[in-house]
Amino acid sequence: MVISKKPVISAKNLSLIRSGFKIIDDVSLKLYAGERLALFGPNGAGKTTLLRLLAGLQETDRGEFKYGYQDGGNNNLDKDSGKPRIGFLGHDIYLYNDLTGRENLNFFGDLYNAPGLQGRIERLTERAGLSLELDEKVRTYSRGMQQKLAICRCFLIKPEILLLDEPFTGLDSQASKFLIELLDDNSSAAVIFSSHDIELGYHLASSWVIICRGRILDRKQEDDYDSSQIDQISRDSQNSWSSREFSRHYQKLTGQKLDAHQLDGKNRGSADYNNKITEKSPENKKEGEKNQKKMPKTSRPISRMSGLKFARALLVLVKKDLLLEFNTGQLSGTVLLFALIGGTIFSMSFLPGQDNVQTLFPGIYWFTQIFAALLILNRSFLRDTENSCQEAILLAPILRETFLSARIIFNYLIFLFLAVIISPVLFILFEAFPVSGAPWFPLLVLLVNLGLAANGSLLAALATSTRFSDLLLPVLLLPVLIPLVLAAVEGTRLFYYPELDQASLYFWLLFIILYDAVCLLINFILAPYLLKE
Amino acid sequence: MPKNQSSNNGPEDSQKSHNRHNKHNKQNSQESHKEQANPTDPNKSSNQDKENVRDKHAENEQQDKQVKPEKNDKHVNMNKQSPQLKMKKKKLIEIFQKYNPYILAGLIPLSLIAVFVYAPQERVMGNVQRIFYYHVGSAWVGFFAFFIVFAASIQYLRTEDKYWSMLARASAEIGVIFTTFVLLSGMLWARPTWNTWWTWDPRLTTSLVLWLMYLAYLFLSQTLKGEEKSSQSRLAAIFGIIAFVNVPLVFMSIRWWRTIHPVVIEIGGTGLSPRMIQVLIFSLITISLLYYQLLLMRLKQLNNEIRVKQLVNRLRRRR
Repeated sequence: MVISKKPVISAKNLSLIRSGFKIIDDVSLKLYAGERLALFGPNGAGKTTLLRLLAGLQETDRGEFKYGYQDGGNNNLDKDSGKPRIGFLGHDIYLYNDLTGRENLNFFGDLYNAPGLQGRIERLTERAGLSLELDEKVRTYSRGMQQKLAICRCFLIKPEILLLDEPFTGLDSQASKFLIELLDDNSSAAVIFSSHDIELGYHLASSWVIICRGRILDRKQEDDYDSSQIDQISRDSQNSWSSREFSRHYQKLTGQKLDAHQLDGKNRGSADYNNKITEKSPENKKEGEKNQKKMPKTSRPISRMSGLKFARALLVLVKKDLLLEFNTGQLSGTVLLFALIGGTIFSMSFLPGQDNVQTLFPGIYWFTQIFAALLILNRSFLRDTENSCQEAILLAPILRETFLSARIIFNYLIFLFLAVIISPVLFILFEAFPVSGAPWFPLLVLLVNLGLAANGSLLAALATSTRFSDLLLPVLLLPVLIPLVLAAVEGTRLFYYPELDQASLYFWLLFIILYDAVCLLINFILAPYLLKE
Repeated sequence: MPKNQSSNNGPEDSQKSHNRHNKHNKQNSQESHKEQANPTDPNKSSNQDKENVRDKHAENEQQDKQVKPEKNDKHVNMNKQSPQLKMKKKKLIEIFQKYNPYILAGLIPLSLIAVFVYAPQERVMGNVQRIFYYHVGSAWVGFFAFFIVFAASIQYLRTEDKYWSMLARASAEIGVIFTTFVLLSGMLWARPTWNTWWTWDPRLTTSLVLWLMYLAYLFLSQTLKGEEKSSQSRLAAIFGIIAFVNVPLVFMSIRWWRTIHPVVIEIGGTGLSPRMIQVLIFSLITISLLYYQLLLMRLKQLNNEIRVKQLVNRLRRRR
């Protein structure tokens, strides 16, 4: 069969070292559009890690790789993020448990701005046999159904690169057939999959490598490819090892026995399969060519994203967060209840009265809200780590800044919701209605909450990348919040004097604006570093 | 490459790539090659090792022009100075590092004498004022140490060189010690002169907030010990930057906050006698050198920690 000469992934001397062990050891490979590469190897050989490296979910220690190819032409890599559409099926299913199947697919399709999304969702899920359960929450799905939905998620976006980590685990024979069919439908995509089912993989793949202790064997090394020669690469030359040779090499490398007859036994299937590929329909071919024509030279560094696209991605992410919130009510409920209880206890322990409103109330007002905020900041991030959904989001052609910005907006909305409800309650409990300059009060609340959301989200993102997020967040966040708290409390205090001290109010408002600006700026600068891996 | 060779080209290939780092062991077997390759691994080296690596590269370039510098190797690209000048500079630094402890051994007693004997007694506050010389010196070193944390953190995020994260960590630890001393000595000084242990003066409060933030920084980097190496340093670096950027904001807010309320104590202008200024400068220098020495020692310690870990790993792999 003919493979296009355009590599969609070229990796050179990738190495990954963790605590002195080489997990990936000097791996070079090129993958061409339409190629289907199988990764074989024993447990712990580095299959999963290699796939994650190629997806860009993990940074390499040495070596480099890029998507697309370098010499001129157009390209259908995403112009702004420099990423192709990657369908990644990992050990984690990358689905939100608290969204329905349809909401999940909608969200991931929207992230890639996939055209004709609704129709595709209907068609795919019907073929997968999921149409009845589509409006149920993913939490209620069985393992196999979840895997099927995850497969739908991968193929929904018409991927150019498919990285499938043991895609056949947990699938019954019908579902396996469904997956194979989908692979055939997307024959222009470059596919790498790992498998323990060597028979199946051997026949499904057009070429394969054995990976053992981080090294790969039997793919020609990068250097041997002369780019002028690559007009056509025949699969046959790659696959020229007989099943006997294959099993011998496999055994030599991995120390695991493999019966050559096993492989031969299923040759019928492979013949069928090969025929299928050679008789690739002309439309498919055209589509493949069309895709490749669009490839410009792009390297991995992320360029700036156009404003409109940024806003769109932001909207999609915030919408997802709101949907999650709407489905569970976790965060808004917790924050509200906590603030109510806190306010009540405060008002009981500091006997309210007009004489000490100025000294006590501003502090209590803000601390009730800040403590409530501390309670949910982590959770708003941990929701994304469920089933590693965050990774799937970062795979999409969006900027990492977008991810953090969307989280800031969502947290900001929740904090405002809290402020709107809790303010009157506290005013009543403490008999502390602002005496002067009340119209300024909402502005102060808006600004302070923005600073809280910005700084809180940044540090929560940091804390949740560790295992001790609950312990870390208050310790990290509170010292950093000191200027904001001071400004908020002092600003609020002004409203309780009979005469408004305008100069002070302006100063504090300006100060909070400065604080917010600095926070947002830091957020934007540090976001790419924060969400690495 | 012919097919039959490609079956065992794995080890050969890896050796090829390593030889770019260390071309001397071209002929060595893989085992001994591993042994030599690790100590010169640029990513894991510290101050001194890094110097060695740079040196080695410089030598290599001199001896053999055919060896091209590795693309990924940041250190080669970094030295644009001529090798000789670099050598000179390096030698000077090395000599300084070697004799710094001895210099300190002389300076510290001298500064003690200067503070307690040479410096005149303050008219109003009396002998308590002598705290001032070390108090100011430590405050300066504390702030400077945190600035180093900030700069090293930025540098780490840019280069991902382990050295910078170790520098940040070491500097934060030392900075916290000095700031603790500042806070304690400040309280000791405030009690007899201002008749209060603590007052919300902007400088005091900023030091306190700074101290809290860098305690949080240390807590973070301590908590991160269980995480992956690269994310450890990265997250700590991010917080190092956030914390330092907040310092001016903290100072500003507290200053304004205090001016609204009656200020209890106002520190008078710097009515220092020339002798006092001499002693102050002398103790500043001493404490700065002390900071430098401590930093070096801590860096060496952190570096040794990593090397021990590498050795243990290698032994474990052998087995």
